[in-house]
Amino acid sequence: MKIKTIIDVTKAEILQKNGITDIDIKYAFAADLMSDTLFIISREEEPVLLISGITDQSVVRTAIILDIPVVLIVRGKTVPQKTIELAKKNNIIMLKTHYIMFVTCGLLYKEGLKGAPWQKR
Amino acid sequence: MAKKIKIFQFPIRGADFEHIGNVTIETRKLIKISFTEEECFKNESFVGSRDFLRRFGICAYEAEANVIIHAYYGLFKTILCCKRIKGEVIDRGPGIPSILNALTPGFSTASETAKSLGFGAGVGLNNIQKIADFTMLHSEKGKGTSLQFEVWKAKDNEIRRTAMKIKQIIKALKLELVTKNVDMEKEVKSAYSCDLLSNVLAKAEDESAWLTVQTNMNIIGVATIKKIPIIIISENSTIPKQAIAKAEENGIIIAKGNEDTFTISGKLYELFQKE
Repeated sequence: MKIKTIIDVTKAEILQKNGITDIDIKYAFAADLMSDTLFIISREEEPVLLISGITDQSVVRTAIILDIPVVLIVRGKTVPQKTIELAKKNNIIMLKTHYIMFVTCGLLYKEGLKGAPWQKR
Repeated sequence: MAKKIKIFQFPIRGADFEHIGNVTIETRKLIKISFTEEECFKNESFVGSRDFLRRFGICAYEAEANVIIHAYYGLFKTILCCKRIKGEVIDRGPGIPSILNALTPGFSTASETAKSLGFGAGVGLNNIQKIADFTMLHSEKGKGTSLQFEVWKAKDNEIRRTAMKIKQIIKALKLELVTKNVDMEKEVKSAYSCDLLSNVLAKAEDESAWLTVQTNMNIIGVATIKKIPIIIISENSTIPKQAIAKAEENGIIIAKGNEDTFTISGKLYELFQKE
């Protein structure tokens, strides 16, 4: 799924557009707890979309560590300028939608995004 | 060729929630630079292996977050050598009151501030333990904690393997199914060939297929412990009825083939590669 499709489907607004824009995203992962996010360590090199309600800088840092190119913030929260700047510096695209997390996930799943491959441990 | 070891060291301040993750990101950058620019690391086949770097990153992030959430100050030391990366986090702080509790998923003593930032889910140490290839935790109440973890170079063939359904394997290898009423939809990612039970217990990967000529009752016990879903018996050995009954009871599939272990192993290896 192209980033443009994600924006259309979730009626998202672009907070930060520096980054790899021409990627085809196949998987998504939604979590508010960063430790839970760290659990997806896929062996595949497919780009993953991170859906989260956290607006702190830690969401960007998590994305950097996990090589996640796009972060989608849900519930229309105001994202602090510091977070956006950090994302800009590290080439991580940031989007924001007004839908709640459940609806966001549902809409994207319906459009064909799959859950990020995780390892049962 | 001369061996080289690189050591990076960063201080971490306790309760510095604003910069949580910075040390990890800096360390990661340095490792990446070492991998791409320095001769002695370049020759190693893991260069560019993002999985390797990511696994280290996750462990480092969790360890760093632990220091920021719980301790007063700490030191993060990374030792990078050709085949492994070692992380060492030593802190001065209250220590862990109960290590057993701390290792239980979901248990957390993190403050509300930490929780509001998405940390303190109580899975940190557990995550490190699962992802790293080696972990050592030492804590003294009232003094501090030291955590060491290592991430080893992944074997190339481990990365390439993908899961295969058991029924596909049985079909492709033309095996004869011995057990009845068992779940054929289970998946396996690798296989292990050995007749010595203790070797299987020690070395076989959990949830992999097992190839052997042994047909006594004990193989079922071993398979149950190692969560092996399928035992492939080679050279058409006869399997005692009790073993079959016990396998069915435990939901383990037994299939047998005419060829010897070497031939079946070879075919199975090809199957995993092809997928």
